Amino acid sequence: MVTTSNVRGQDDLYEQAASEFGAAVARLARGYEADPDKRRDLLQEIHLSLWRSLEGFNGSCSLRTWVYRVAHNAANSYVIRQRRARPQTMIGLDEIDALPIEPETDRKMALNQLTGLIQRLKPLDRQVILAWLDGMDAAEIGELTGLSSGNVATKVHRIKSILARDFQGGRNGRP
Amino acid sequence: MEDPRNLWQTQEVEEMKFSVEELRAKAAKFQRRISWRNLREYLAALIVIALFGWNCWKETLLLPRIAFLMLIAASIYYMWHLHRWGSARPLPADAGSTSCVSFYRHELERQRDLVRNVWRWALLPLVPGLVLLDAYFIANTQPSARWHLVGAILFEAAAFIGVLWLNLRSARCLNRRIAELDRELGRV
Repeated sequence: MVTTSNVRGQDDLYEQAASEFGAAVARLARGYEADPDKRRDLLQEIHLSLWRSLEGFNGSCSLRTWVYRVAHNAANSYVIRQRRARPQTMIGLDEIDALPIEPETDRKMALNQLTGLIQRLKPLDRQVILAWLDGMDAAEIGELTGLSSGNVATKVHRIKSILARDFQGGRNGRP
Repeated sequence: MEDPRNLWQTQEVEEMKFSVEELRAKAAKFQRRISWRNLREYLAALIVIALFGWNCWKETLLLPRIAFLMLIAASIYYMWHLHRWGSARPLPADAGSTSCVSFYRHELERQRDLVRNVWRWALLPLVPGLVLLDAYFIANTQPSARWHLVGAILFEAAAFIGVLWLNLRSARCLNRRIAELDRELGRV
């Protein structure tokens, strides 16, 4: 039964979630949709799903995990719908040798290339890389995705090796 | 030396802010959109039923009447199925408590089952009415004019096979993605 206090709790939780994780959700949407107009639609869909879902938030996980789960699930649902309209090939982390970023690439271009890579990844790999880039540790990524710790560790190791060469090795001393 | 996590977290993003009132209005708008879509589907169903119904009423013989009644029943079943299983819907309420892997797999299965069973809910219900109608027309047409009917029947068959093939291809593609996911998770 929906009571006034439930609604109040849902609204308060949403405001807290939006203020704490709004930027993270916006970055996540960027990893799913390249087109800015469509990205706004996706963001709106995520926020709407999040607000709706918080009616059932029971504290079984942290608010952060809840927000990320809803955001990823909404975005994935969006991608499945989009793929039916615009089929495109997705790749796995194990199919990438390295992110081809030239040493002279500036920050904005490096970011665009990283985003482009994320947008082409298969759903699970995309979720893991987005969570890792946003600062989650392996345990949090496991809780978010439902992947085993071994599976998460393998994927994170792969992500690090893909990114390390170009971001930390090839771009020596660049800000 | 740029840390990719730092690069990612410090990027400029267009952060959208919604007040709770705005979200309530958007949720209501979404519901209205669903209602309008339902209304359109019901109207389309009514038009199809009215066309078959008109033919049924016009016919004086029992056999074609039964055929049109069967087609009406098939159209109603098709609309009901599409409305029940194929419609756009808001994210399930448990989206926050379901892990991304479970949610993704469930969505793929839902889509696959819908397209894989298209023969059962979209094509098969139409078959008895169409076969009966075709048989009636063939029996009541001059032999010299029957080739027109054969052409129409072949067209019907080709349309059925085409719809079936496209949907089964889509189901196979979704199945491959489910199998790939299972392999990755070590389930197979």
